Amino acid sequence: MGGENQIRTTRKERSESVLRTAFCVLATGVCYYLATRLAWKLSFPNSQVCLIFPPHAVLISILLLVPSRHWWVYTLAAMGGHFVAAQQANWSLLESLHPEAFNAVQNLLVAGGLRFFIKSPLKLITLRDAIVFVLIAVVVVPVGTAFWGAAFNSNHFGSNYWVEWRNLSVSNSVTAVVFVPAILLGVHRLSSRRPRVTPARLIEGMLLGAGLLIIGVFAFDNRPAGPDTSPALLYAPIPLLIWAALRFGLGGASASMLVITFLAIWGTMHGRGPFLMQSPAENALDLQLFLLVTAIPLLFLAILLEEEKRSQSALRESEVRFRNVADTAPVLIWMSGTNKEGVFFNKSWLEFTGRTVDRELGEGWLKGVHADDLAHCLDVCGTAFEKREPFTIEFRLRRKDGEYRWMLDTGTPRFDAEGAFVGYIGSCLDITERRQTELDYQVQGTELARVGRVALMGELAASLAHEVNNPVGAMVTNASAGQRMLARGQLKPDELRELLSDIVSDGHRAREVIEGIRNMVRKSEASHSLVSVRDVIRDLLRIVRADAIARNVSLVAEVDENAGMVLADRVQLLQVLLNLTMNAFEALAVIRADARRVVIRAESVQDGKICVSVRDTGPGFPDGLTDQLFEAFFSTKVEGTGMGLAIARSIIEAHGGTLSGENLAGGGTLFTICLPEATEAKSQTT
Amino acid sequence: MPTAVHSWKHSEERAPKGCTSDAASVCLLDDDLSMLKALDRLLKAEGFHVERFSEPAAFLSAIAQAPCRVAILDVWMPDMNGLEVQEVLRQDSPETRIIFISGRDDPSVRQTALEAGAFGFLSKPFDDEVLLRLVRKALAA
Repeated sequence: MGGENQIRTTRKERSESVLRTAFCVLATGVCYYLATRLAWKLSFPNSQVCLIFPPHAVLISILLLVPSRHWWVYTLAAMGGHFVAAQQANWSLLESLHPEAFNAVQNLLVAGGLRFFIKSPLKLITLRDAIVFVLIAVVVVPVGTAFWGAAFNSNHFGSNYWVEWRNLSVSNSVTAVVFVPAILLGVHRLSSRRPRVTPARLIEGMLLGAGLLIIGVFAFDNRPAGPDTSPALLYAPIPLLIWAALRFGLGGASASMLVITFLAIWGTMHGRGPFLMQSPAENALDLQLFLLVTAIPLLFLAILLEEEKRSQSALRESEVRFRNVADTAPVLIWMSGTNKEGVFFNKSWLEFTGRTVDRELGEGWLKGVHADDLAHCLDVCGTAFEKREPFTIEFRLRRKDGEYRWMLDTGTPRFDAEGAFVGYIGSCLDITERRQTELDYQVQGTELARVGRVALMGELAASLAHEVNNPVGAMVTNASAGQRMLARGQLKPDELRELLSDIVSDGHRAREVIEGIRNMVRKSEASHSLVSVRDVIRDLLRIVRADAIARNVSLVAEVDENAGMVLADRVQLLQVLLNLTMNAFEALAVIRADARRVVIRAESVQDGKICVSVRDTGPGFPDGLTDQLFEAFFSTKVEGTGMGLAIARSIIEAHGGTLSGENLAGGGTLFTICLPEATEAKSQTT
Repeated sequence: MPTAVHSWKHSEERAPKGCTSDAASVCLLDDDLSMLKALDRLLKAEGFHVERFSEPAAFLSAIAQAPCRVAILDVWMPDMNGLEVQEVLRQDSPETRIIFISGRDDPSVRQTALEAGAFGFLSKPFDDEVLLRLVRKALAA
């Protein structure tokens, strides 16, 4: 069913198109006939020469507007039109046949050449198109075919061959260059839907037209030609033609050229204007050359001006497009010029800072940068600017509510088409949240480490209590003894002095233990300083001593003399050693009491590292678990949280060191911490 | 909790002073020197005769030569803890009354000590009156 419909519509369409084509062909014939009549009118009264031959332009234009496969029909129609006109002028059959053939061939050649070389013959767009057009339609074909035409004419009319050749070629050239662009553009203008012309433009066009008519008449139609006719009149129309090309493009230029052409021909034909000096043939030539010399440059000029306008408007369009993108983008976009001054800030930037663009231009935007970041900002930007390199920088910019937000600013240098530096373009992203998250992360890490320490301290609570109870107990006992001695009158001043001094020193001892505990559980940010490894181990022993005794563990420390300083957070380092030591103690719980031994060793190794190791004589950990030991939530203890070693490793790695564990061949476990050795100089650079 | 008996070395050197069988003789054993000194002062102030030891080995060898009536022992000491000393004393010097003082509050240790025959068990810091009363009672027993 559908197929039949399709066939029916196609047939209908085909018949419609055939009708259309028939109508066009007929119209062509008629136009050609009329144009031929016009051409014959535009010739000198006593001459054979047609100044111009509009029929050529008509046929060429029509051929360029229709499909190639119809050309033969249209050409025949044109020939027919000419034939009718020739018959009316009482030409013989032979006389009319030759021009018809000649015209047909010439026009086909022009149309064919143009169609082949120019993509859109309908409208001459680029300079290349114009050059091709001039070469084919104005130079090569007219001049080439003139050889043939001149032969016939000189034979037929008995005139000089070269004169005929000259007349023919010039005449056809002028026809092509004056009429074809005008016709083609006129058709294009009529067939396309252009926006309505504004009144201003209409008035301008009318002024131009009026000016052309007036000047044209004045230049070409005014007085009868004679010795005092000034050749300067020839130049009078030129400014108007240029105006037409400038303001109305190729279409305007062509139309204006047409007006001038007609006025010039009309005036010259009737014995007026500046061209009537010599014989009609020479007058004709002068006029034709004038028209040629005016029309061809005008064509190029018009096309160049249009190209310029197009590229200008493309540039403007791209500017507008960029501005649109820049203003709708959620990031802050800025541009700077060749002197680092701010030249553009997009809408997002202005909305963010809440300032107007005038206040931001130049160096105004710097006022929004946080005082602490300004120096660094200028430094980085300046350095990159000198080298014309891209840069990335983070700084704080004041938001319109007064809060300073961290911005990630990326800038790239811009270069124009010739490679000259024209400034920078960049974008800013608000990374305050991200930084906050990083900070939170850090804080959490520190918190976690602290929690680990608190847990360790909890495990040591009983031992630490013992460490406090001893000095406190001694203080109380001493004081009671003193009271009793006083009651019996037995207290000598020396004895009293000694007793009181003992109390004081025990008080200090208690304080130290409590301070040690407090340091371990205090909330504080990690701070790195020069830490003596020996001191840390001493602190460690002080804390675990009581526990070692309680567990019957023999604890020995071997600190090499060359084990010096590291750059570390003292509390965190102590925490790690504590963790390892407590682990060792617990591992020894299953070993018989007299075999429980923990050795803590500190020594300096090559590559400038200091290693502290904790060795125990326990059963070791199961083989194959070496890597898992340090994982979070992994524990071999029944009640272990599994966090201690994970925290310990992350602390050591944050210090730029390594923490590893292994089973020893002779039994037992060895955990080793290695940290880079620090010197005075290193600590001062951080 | 320590249960194994630590085999201690007999010290070759004699104890500085032999304990006499004086009725007011009290022996002190604590590795914490300031505690030792304070206890010494306290007991001397009440008129007791006191012998001080900071090493279990020295203490035991002195006891072997001249036993003390009352021994005040610290529990947590490095080489040998108080309970182990108690074990040795039970065999070698059963008539010595033992009073423990401990810096750690450990109920299981207290229980073991008391079951093994300790006369008293105090936690540091202790009330001096309580200790003195215990010492007098132990001497009287």
